[in-house]
Amino acid sequence: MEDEIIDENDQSKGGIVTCSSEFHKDIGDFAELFTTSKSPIREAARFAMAIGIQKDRREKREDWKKKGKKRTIAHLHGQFDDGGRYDFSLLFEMLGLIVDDTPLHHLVSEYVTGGMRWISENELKKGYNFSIMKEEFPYLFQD
Amino acid sequence: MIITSIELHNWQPYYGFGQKGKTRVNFKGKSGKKNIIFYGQNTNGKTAFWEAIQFSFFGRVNKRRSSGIRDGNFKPLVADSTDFEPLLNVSAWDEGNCNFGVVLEFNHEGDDFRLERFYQPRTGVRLARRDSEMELHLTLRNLSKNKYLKNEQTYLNNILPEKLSRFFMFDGERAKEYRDLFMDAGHDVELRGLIEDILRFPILTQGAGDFRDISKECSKEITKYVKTASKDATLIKHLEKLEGIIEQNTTFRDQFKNKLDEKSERLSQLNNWLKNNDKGKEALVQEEMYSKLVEDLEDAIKTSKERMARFLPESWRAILRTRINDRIAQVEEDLKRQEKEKEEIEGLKFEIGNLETRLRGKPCKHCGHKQDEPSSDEIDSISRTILEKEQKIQILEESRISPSPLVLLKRQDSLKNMSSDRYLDVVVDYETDILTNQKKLRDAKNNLKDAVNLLTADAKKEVQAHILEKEQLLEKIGDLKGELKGVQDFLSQIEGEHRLKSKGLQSSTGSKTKVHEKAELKQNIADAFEEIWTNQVEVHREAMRSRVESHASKVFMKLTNKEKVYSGLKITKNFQIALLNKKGRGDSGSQGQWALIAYSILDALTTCSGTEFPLVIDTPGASIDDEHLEKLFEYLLSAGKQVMIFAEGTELKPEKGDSDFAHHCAATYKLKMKAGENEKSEILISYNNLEE
Repeated sequence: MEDEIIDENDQSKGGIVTCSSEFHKDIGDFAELFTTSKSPIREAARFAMAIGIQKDRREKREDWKKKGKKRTIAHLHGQFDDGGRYDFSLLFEMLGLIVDDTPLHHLVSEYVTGGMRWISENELKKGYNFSIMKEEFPYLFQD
Repeated sequence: MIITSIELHNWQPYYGFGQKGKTRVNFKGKSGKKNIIFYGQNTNGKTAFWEAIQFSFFGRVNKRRSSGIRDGNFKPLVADSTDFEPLLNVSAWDEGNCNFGVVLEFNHEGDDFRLERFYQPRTGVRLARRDSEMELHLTLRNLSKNKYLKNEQTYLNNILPEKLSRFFMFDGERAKEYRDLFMDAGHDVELRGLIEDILRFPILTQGAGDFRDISKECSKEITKYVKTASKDATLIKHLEKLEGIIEQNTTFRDQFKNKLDEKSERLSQLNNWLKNNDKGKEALVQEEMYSKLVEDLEDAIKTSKERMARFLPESWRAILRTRINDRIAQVEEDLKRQEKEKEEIEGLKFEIGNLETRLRGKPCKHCGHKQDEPSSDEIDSISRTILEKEQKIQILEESRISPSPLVLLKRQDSLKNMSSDRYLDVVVDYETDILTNQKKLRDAKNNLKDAVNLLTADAKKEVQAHILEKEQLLEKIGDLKGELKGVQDFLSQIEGEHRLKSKGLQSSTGSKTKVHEKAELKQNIADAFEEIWTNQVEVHREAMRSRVESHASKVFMKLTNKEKVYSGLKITKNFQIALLNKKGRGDSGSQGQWALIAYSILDALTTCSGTEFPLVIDTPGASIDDEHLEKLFEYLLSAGKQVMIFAEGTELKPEKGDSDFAHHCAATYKLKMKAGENEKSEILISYNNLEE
């Protein structure tokens, strides 16, 4: 899955959501499972972020930002929030995830990275181990 | 026809010849019981027995590949360079004994018959090394009338033509062939031909053709008479012109027919070449099959992935569902609280209003003079209460707008927008499909690789060249058929015109000779018969189709365990078969269900045809699970026909067979190899209900 052309230093539109370079390829592979979405990478990142939040897997940006070129994903506003459809500021606030000195787009990036680690550890990136989610997220299944 | 006994002499693994050495099996049971079950492990001589019946009737046995496919080639009589087991027992051949054969005793239309089919070396040959060194001895004797029949094979073919034997001698391992035959539109000509043969339609259709020919002959005769008697030269000239056109087009028609025959003959040769070129053909067939399978599996995986990809977006919201819903509940509680506080404020304000009225005193309704004014103590008390209530209102007001109800409503709306009640069960289903198909794909690719390796480049080229020629021939045959039809239609039109003009000529001649009148009468009768016959054939055809459909549906619904899913079978006018679900729609059905459909159709066809011949079934359990197999055995053995089942050990164990099904049988037999002797099978009776 190709990178979107985004300047990672661009702080307009809420800043850029990124992911650790460690998962540069993995998130691209994982995005193959979302090809019907208009932006598979963003969709994959949102999925990873949700996993990161639910599994409490925040990986602080300072631990991974210097390791290599970060994987840029999308502007937080207008792209990652799907044109304002989703209010991540509110979501993070309501879930008590806001950290005073950390901008929201960095927080999102930290949960995306944490979620991607869980996805990689559980071999979910190729889409053939979703059954593990039955154990980890039983409320997502009716049977 | 009912088979009453069979004798094997040096037949395949059944070593032994003559009165002492032969293997004899009796099928005649007490109280008219006639069914037989043979139990045997693979290679213990089960199929050899099945083939003995085929051999005794038709004089040859189809080769059988490891895939179970019988392709129109036949097993050799004696051992040759191929890997196929010969019909003559190999141990007997090693000992220099080349005599072998099968004796079948049967009852047909009330008479008992004894059919003996033996091969022995030709005069001067001591040890036959090829089939051409063997000589056939065939005798068919009517035991009831103590008479030998002359045209033995013709008589046998009348009982059951060889091409229809596939409907009676069923190989469970070939169930897929039947599925292809019944389902594939490309096979409809072959299928229709076979089914029409078994239902005896050609005899009826031929009847109409015979009357048409008689009518044509009469027409020629009549034309000859009227031309002689008529004076209408113009009409005669016109008729002669038409006759010329008819003659010319008849020549064209015959030429097309000849070309068609030639092409068909070449097609048959090509088919034989392809069939005989075992390795090349098999590899090519396998290559095509596995290529198609790989393609299908890749498509299936792609489809599952696409479906998964359609479902996964937005599922992040479902992952956060529990936490988001908690917060939504929290917001809703705040909103409720604020609503309650609002009501409480209203109540307090009302109470303050009352207290203020009390402070002011109650004015007189008539003069407005204040009455019942509060005392100074009361004023102090009321003022304190008002103050307290105002303070409470202030606290409530602050709480009522913190956070602002508008903010709360916006939060509620935003959170609801991020929650999702989606479940991901279907993703796991797609994942299972993908994993299963990926495994199948790996296997298919390996098989494809093996199949490709079977073919050398030259062999591949040669086989493909033949296949290409076959395709071109089929196209040419299609064109020829079209041209032939065109000529035939034109001929019919001209013949019709000729007939009309002839009638015009007849009416102008006045008196007719007796032979002329006789020819006319004969033609009218032939025309009337042709019309009646044609109409009746169509009525009969539809009635038979409907009967086969109804019978097959009933049998299938008895056999299947999926009676809640399926409603029966549909048979089209071209005798293509479809499996219907409860909504009346076509269903692809599993391999097992199609095996049951094959049995149901065979049973329906053999029952509706009126042809009496035993149903001989080898490896009945191929493609069928245990539960369906039990139902199948029970149905077949109690259906009234003579049924012979050759069951492999895993399909039916002797103990189970004898306890559950032997009461339908004359006897059950166990087939096994004699210890230490590879080429010798023996038969042991397991359940005996035979006539003394």
